[in-house]
Amino acid sequence: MAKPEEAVDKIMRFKPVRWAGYLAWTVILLLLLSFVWGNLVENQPRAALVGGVIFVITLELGIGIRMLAKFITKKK
Amino acid sequence: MKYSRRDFLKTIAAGIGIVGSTAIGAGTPLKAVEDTASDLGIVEASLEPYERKLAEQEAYRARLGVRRVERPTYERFIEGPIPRFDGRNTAFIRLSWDKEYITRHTATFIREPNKWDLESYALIAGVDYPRSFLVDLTLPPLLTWQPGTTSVGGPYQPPRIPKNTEQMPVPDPARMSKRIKQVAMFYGADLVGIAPYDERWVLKGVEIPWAKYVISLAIEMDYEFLRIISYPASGYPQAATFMGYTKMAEVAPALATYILGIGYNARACGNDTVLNIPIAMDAGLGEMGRHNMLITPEFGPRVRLCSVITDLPLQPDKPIDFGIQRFCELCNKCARACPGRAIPFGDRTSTPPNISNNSGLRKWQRDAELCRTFWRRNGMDTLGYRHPCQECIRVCPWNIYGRKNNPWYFDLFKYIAINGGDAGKSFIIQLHDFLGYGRPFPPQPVPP
Repeated sequence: MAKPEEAVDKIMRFKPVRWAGYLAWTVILLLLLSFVWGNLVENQPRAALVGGVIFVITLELGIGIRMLAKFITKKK
Repeated sequence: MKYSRRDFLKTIAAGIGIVGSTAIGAGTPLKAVEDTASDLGIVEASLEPYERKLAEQEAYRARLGVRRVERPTYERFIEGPIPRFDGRNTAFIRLSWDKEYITRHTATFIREPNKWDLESYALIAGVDYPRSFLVDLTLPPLLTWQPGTTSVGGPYQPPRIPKNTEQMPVPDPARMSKRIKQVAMFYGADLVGIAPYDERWVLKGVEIPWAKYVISLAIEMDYEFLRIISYPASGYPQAATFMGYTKMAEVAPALATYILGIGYNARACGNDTVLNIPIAMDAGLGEMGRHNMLITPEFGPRVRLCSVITDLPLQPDKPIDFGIQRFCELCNKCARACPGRAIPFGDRTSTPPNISNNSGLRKWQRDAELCRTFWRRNGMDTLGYRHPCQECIRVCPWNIYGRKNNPWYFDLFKYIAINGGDAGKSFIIQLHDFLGYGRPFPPQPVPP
């Protein structure tokens, strides 16, 4: 059975999966941005704030996952 | 400069050419216009945007998962024969004859006239000017059809044209229904549906022998003004309601007159003559919620309803089911928010709280007396306008989710509420609170 770092390395080297991940992440971020913007325009401050917090968490999470993957593959 | 005979002839030839080509060019479209005018092509083409709007509405409902059903959702709660409602028993009209109710009502504390909110008076007064004329002139006054009762309403004037003696043939009722909906939208209706005429929803004492169908019309009320809290007294939400009345007094009489013009009987109704909510449910405009108001998939409860009764051959629409019955069982937001404690919590009941409610149907019985009494308690302004309350509309999750130019996330929330089962519905109800959508705007403290 392959070790976890080998599996991560395999996934990271497989371009379509990597780019599908980036694309999904970007789409989610754009949707969240539109949610925040829409609620700001419509004077819904609380909803905009909640959307903003989720946006930042998603952004950080994405960067974190990317960094973790890089770290694991480098360690190997 | 020398001007030769040859140049002169050239000028003449060019002139003839220009005149000739202009004549040919001008002649062609003229003929085309005549041709299309003779087969109503112009009307067809002009109504095309409304045709598109109707198709978009239908596609939108399909996208949300709104189902067309054979029987309206209220039918599962019918327990016995539904007697025709006596128009005299509405809480408004009872204040003109029910001595016991008048005594109780007038004993209620009335708030001092409000002096601080100058702009809300101005807004109401501005809307009330056309509204008072239009509603009084174009919609039948309440109770004139009942012998021995006082008319409530203004100097009603029936349509200026009588029923046309020449009748437009209707070989295809489905096509005619489409045309009627397009015309209603042209006059200003936001939602249109057609229901078969059902005597149960006509007020007691009204007989319309020629009636076959009822065209149900919904007019959207302004969202932003209804976001402002209704109490302590503020005229802003009422201004939105008055605008709804003004539009309703334009649309229904205009459509009735159009039908008279094509040679069929028609009668416009506002809050008189018929019960608009069950008719709108029959016509597939929406479902009735806990607050006893129609909830539409497009605008939620933020609509005013009016109808046109007719004998024009039409094809009735099917009722819709988008899970409102279950949604309202889980939600209770309007019952919590109601400052008059008129909207009940818990399950539907069969016993009406007073004569202002109809019997024969198990439903959430909103107490019209308590509702109307709260209006009195809420006071009136220095111009004499009462300050009714629209809290049940304001806090209803479907109010915000039913926005014009809906952003994608409201459509997603609606989709989850409709198709997500109990879990989805509960999630959307909680989300409404969590995202602060039920809060008044501009921020105001909610009185205890």
